[in-house]
Amino acid sequence: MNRAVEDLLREGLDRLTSDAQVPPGVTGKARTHLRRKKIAVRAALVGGAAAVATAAVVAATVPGRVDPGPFHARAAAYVVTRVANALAATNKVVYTRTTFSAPFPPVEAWYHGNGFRQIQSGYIAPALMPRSPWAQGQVSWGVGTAVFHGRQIYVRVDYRRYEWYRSPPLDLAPDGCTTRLDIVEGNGPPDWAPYLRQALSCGMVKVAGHAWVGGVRTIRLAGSQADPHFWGNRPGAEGLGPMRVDVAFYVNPATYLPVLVVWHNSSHWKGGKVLRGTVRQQVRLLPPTPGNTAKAEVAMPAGFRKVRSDAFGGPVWPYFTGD
Amino acid sequence: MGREPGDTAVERLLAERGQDLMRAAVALTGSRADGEDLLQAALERLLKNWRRVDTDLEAYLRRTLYNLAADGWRRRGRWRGRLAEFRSQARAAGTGSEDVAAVDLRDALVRLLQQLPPRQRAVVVLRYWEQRTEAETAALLGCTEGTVKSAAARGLRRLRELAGPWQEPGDLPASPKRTQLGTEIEAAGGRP
Repeated sequence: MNRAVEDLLREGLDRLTSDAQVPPGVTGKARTHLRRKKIAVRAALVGGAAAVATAAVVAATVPGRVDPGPFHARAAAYVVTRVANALAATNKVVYTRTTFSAPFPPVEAWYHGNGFRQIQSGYIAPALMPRSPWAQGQVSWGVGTAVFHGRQIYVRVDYRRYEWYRSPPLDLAPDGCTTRLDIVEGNGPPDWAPYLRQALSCGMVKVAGHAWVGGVRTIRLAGSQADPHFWGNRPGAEGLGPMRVDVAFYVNPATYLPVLVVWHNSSHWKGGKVLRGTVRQQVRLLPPTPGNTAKAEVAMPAGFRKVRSDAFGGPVWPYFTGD
Repeated sequence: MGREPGDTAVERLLAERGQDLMRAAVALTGSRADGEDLLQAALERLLKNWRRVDTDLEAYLRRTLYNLAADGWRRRGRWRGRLAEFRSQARAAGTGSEDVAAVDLRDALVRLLQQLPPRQRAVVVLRYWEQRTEAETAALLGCTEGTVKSAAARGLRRLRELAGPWQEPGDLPASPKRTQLGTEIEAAGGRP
């Protein structure tokens, strides 16, 4: 690094903020939010906490009522904010199990604080990944954080070959209304809060009634998005139209934490065929016991060999089943 | 819903100085969406305490903005900064050009800034982006100059540490998303 960090940081912040504009109506929004908080506080003070001004929203979350269909935008804001806050605040170990409509083994993941671990073990037909040098049938991969020489790093481990390398985790943070609903699946629930907020502010997520999941009458948050730039100029993707994602978050009304997320992905070829796929992610919260928190770190077995960074891949998250 | 006292004055302030305030909010939070939320939270504070604000509005709003950011404002997923860090790292990989690397490093530093504790971040933004003196920064954040000095030093040191990987070209990883998406296309079995 030849130049001072201060200078580069200043230039970076100048670039970041160069086109920042005050969002229209922000004063009104602040006033409305303030008023709503005051109403809620007053309602609570008179012992009517359950009868706050958002009664319609609360009613929507009470099991046993008839599904009222599409809700007012405020209902979506209320629920999504509660979900985002619950996700950001939970101290539990978040466990997810992701299954695919494509013939790939499930991915299991544990997240806690700064640490995470994703694993995938099973059979992937070599024909499905013909040009991939690392897909040879049976796989057993891990991706996540590990402590190495006292520092937390990100690693990918091939347990069958006894190899590992330092790795970046999945990328992409929310950025304006280009937030892609599909990428939350890879980032994991602890990172969903900003995506949900972003998706809400861009009108991509709405409250869409209730659904029973595992004996719980959940609130269903649904969103859709078509990304025309998803494929870009990637080889093999010529002729594919926008990537459409229909996502549904099923939220426990008691905790406002998701219990299930389902993504339906589709993209049309020019000839009319459609590439489709479904990804289902079950979410469970585990108490933060030493045993559970340990699962949220990759334990680097002794004797594993460090290899170059692109030596092999990691857990595969197939968005599509095929055409 | 009628207009309340202060709305007009606040809107005038935003029309005149809003862009500067918004830039500060974005610099503090690292993204436009969070910057908007932060500005809105500061506005709420201003409207709530409207009758008690006896200094000029902009100073109050700016001070609120920085203090909300310095106090953590809301618990943020540390993941996000971490992911962004590696996105930049991945982007920097294989560019080869010093100019491009410098641009990536700038972006990376902005993202790494989000990994600093909120108060350190606010101090770094005030000192090195707004070019405030230690005394001004301390007055804005309601702390001592010594606190500002140590927070700025620690913040910069941490940024240098975090930016370390960019100095080791051989250690830069390949872009994960490209790899993953390549995999996804192949997995789809949908190649023409």
